[in-house]
Amino acid sequence: MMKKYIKIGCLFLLLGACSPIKTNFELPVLGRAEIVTKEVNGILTEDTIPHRIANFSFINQDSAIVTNASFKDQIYVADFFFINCPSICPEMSKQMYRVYEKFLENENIGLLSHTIDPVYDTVAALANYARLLGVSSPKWQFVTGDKQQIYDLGETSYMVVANEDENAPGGFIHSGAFLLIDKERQVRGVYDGTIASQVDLLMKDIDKLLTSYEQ
Amino acid sequence: MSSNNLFLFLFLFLILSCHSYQKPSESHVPENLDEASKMKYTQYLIQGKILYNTNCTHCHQNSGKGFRELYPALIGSAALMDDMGPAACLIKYGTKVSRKASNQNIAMPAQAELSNLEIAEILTYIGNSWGNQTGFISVKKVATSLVDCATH
Ligand code: HEC
Repeated sequence: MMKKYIKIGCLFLLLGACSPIKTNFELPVLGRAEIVTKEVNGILTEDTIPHRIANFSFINQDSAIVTNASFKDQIYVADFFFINCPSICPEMSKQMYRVYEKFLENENIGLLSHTIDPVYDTVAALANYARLLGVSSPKWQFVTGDKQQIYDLGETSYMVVANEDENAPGGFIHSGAFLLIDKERQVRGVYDGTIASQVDLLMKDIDKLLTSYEQ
Repeated sequence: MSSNNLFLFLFLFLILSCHSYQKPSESHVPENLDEASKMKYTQYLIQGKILYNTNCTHCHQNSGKGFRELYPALIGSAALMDDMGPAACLIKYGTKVSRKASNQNIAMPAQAELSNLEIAEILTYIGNSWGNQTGFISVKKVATSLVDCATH
């Protein structure tokens, strides 16, 4: 008899652990904080610098310059793609388009897609891509620029893989991640941009992050 | 053959034959074919659908409707006319580089690893699904089309 109660108790415990209590928590700040020591008035002190997106400067599909300042009053979703990508990018574009449609009228959020094939994906090619997709800047910006700057920013700031690799489909290796970035340039979420349910979660988290700025 | 074996044989035969006659619901098989042709047609449709799902859906979608203007719809596509010659070339060799002009469609990637049989199965599937009715596409037709891709 006792055993039965214990079993039922365990079940409830498990149920409790699985239930989405987490939804009321704030989104985490991702990335490793950097600890630097510096001298203030002759005394060594330690300072924690949170992980932030580094400075960048790129050109979008309308030949406008895009920098961190372009997003100072916006949260944004970033990803890495290239036009002639045979594998995961078509699905990523389709999923990002869902985010685009949902937040079309909301000026507090922007979308930023970086090409990892800047040699082929020129400003004109990106403009054509945006036209075929039927989207416009500044809501959804497609940016190109210095190849090494794009790869470095991807790996060190956004913490995703973005590189040339002759063995990968289309000649580039990259992750299909969507990154949610807040107004303080911090990474607040990573989602698989090829999976609809992950992008559903992203859209919920966007709402949550936007609400946190209203308080 | 013992009666047990006979039963097993009949049982397997029925399962297998039922299975191979189950064409995809979005596909069309002409009525006026003999049983053998119908069976081959249906097998191409089934195999073609599997191949389409792994090699094409992420761009052209399950529905064949494509996505925005990036990835064209395959329903009523002009490339499916002319015994699918242009489509066979497009699948095997992709969009020609000369067409990568900036005000055009983006390029379709080549899938050179697909065999003529696989291309025939895919073409039979997309040519006879979602309302398309181009008829059976044989391996021979594909082989002939691929000879002169330069003209497409
Ligand atoms: C990476 C995305 C992608 C994949 C994968 C892909 N296609 Fe395409 N497809 C395209 C694009 C882009 C075009 C337009 C190309 C052009 O106009 O040159 C196209 C055009 C076509 C056309 C001509 C449509 C028309 O009316 O112009 C056919 C037929 C076609 N694809 C069939 C297929 C089949 C079958 C497969 C799978 C074996 C496939 N595609 C895989 C992107 C893709």
